[in-house]
Amino acid sequence: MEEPRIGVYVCHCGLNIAATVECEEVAKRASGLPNVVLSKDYRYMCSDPGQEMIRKDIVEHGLNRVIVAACSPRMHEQTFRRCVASAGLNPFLFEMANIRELCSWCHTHHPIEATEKAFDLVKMAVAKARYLNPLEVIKVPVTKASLVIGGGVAGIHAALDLADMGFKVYLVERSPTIGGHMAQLDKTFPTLDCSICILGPKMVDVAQHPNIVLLTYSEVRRVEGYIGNFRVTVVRKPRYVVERECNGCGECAKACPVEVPNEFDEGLGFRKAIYMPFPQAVPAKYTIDRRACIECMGCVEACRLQGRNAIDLDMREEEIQLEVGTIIVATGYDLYDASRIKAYGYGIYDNVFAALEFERMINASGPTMGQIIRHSDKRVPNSLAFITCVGSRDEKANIYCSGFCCMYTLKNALLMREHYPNTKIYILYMDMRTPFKGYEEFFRRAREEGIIFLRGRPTEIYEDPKTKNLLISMENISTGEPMDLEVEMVVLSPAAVPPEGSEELARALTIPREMSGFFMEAHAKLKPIDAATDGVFLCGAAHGPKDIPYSVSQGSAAASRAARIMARGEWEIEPIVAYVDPEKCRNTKAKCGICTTKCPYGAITAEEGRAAVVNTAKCHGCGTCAADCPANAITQMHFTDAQIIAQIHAALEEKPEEKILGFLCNWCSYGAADLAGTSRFEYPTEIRIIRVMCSGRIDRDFVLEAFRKGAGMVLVSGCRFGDCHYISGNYNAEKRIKPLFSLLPRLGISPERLRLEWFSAAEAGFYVNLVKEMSKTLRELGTDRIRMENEKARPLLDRMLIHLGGGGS
Amino acid sequence: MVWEPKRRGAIVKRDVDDHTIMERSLLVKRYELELDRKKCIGCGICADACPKEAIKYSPAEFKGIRAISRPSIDFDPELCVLCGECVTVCPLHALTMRMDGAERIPVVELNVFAQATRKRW
Repeated sequence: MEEPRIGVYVCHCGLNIAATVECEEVAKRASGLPNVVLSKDYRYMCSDPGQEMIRKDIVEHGLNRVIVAACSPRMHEQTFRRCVASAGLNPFLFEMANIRELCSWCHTHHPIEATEKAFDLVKMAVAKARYLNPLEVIKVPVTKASLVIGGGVAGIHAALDLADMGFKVYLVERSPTIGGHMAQLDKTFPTLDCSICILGPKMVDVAQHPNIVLLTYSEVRRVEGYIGNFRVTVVRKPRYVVERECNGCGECAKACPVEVPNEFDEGLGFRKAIYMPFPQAVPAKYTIDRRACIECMGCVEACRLQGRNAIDLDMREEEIQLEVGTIIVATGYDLYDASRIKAYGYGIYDNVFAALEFERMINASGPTMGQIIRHSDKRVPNSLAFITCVGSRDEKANIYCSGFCCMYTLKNALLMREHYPNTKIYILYMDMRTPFKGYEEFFRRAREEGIIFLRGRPTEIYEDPKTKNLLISMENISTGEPMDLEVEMVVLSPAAVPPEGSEELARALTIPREMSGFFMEAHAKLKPIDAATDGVFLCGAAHGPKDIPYSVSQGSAAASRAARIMARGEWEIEPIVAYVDPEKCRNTKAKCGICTTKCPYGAITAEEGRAAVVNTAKCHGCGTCAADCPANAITQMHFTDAQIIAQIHAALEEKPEEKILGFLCNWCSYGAADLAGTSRFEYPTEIRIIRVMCSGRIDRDFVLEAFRKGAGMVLVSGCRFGDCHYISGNYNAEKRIKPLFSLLPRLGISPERLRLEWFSAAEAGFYVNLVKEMSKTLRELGTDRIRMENEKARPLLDRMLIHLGGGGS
Repeated sequence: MVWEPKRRGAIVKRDVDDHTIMERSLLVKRYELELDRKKCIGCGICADACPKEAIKYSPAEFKGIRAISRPSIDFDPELCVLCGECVTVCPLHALTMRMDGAERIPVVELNVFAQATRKRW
């Protein structure tokens, strides 16, 4: 390898950095570091002149490594990579030192320590840069076809947009028809358009589009492959009616003797065992529900009388294979099961309904032909109360706000007012949330129409056993008084929750879900449509509760994100992947295969007697395998052992016992540290952070090496369980790091000097408190005791870490 | 009273005196299947005929040679689809099927019978 010639650029970021950190001093001191041939400071490195300066220096001074000490790599790493690439340098020979979010912004009142820390961060970057290797982006071909999972309003729009662009689209829907929840609704807010009248034509467009293959009554079972090259196994459930043959005449249903509750009508009305969920269903084909069918053959005869033979009771489940380049997840939502809140009596009291049931009732094509009637006496209620936030904003159910319930409750209240002007209508609410275009006006209209708004969450609902009226007891928050309200009907507005099967789908697609169970996007701000797995996109309520316009825009957004990949015909993958050194791999001699079990993506294969092999296109670059390899045969590119160890050494070169070394995962804990900076939270300056892609990359050796080098404290942290961007990296990290707590005392090191913590990118406060706590522990232990402990542990650690080499100890 | 919420449209089974009633109460329609246990002798023909195997037949129990219980039938509300097949085969007219209060048997009205029944008779 050629001798590194490193250029260091310290950015002032106007006064963002320079107000706290002595940038000139940092640049001056950095020029004395090994292999640094050039060190400068400049007002704005990311500006055109700043970037031009780097380009010029690369050519004039023959730089082969570039370091910019400025903001977070999550902010401008790509910018500077492009900059060095345009000067002919491999983009992976660039490294960033984060001295803004991690330093100047969070230590504003400690300029001396901040400058010291900034220099340490630069030193760590220089140390890593000396071990950087040029990497080539990996190019893979892309299949120009897309799979859309879910045929609700979001999925329909994603499919139509992609099909119009000329891509082949497979639209998979698990129920017999597309349309989703929107097809069930009566009117849509705030314009009060008829829901099926605006959705119906779109559904027909899907059925008739030459580029769309519609697979209803089907489910995704398996997904293999990677961006551009997914192989998807779809199960076609038997509908016992041959789609080609059926013309939707409906004679079969007339002949069917079995009546069961219709799911489409939320169980208020009935359907036959052979059924079409609703008249506008697409495809307009019948389906036999074999759980209800008594095999009387009435439908078969009726179909024959029509001169057709569409019914085939011997139909079997069928698996089909699809080859697609991208996948769009539009699986939507389910409504929270209101019967789980016992106090409201849903499912027990006759006249307590859920919102979708109300929608079906007030719908002119619904089971009651648009009549709102009580279950107990089939009479129009004289008073009706809507209750919002059922199962949302509730510690006992879901803490999130379900978003669109306020609006649909207002809409239903207005429809009720329109249909029955004499009915007294109450809305019992916690807060009214009406933030989008035309929504506040709609709320105003509801107030003007005489709907009574009472603020407070009902504590309990009782039923009068004689009249079947309902007595709501609540605290009116506006007056502070407890009150009772008697109404003849109650309609609950349940939260939207992730639909059944989300977990299996998440596993098949290897995409993470949030604590709420909805799918998680790759970046909350800048990649709201992309899932963590490349080539998979989210739209509509699959990603969190959403109303119709938002779902439609996301559907189109997902289509454009997917088209961006497919239009090019090939795609580049970041080469921060794992690589197995076949010389070192144990699997050649003994049966090992540990890496194959650790990889969350199944990207590693280890055949018996052969070295393990990483499928680079499938590898997401978490580094879990590298950390868990017992032979240290696996390297993660750009996060190699040598690079991280060099960072550890650089961070702990001076006064190590006064420092906290933190290993933070890129997605959550590093994000929280960044957020603490942007929020200008102040915390102690002792911490030095090493960024890894996933906590799964953090090798036990890194922690021990830090202690061998005399670190005062070590922090290992990653995403909360269930939130890992690499599915299971943090579980593996916990499994690996936890045993250290019992090992450390045996080495003579106080176990409180190691912390293992999990927090999300939003929990900057948690991070700040953690650092404060750790700094306190550090002071309580005192440098003398730490030094003593380290002295005692060193001989043992030296022996344990012999494979890392001397490392200058 | 059972304090368990029921699914909308699920069949609820209850015993009133000597009658067992299976009721499905939809907002727009009410179905009832009633068994008069005084008339039922436990022949089990309905259990054989039921296309959904929703009727469980229990033979008489003996202690020595003394019968301690009569043979009887029972319904499974999870499996029953209220088609009325059992009503048509009951030789003792112990079963009644009602829709919105009026006596009606769907399979008779549409003149279709389950394959299971056709094969036997």
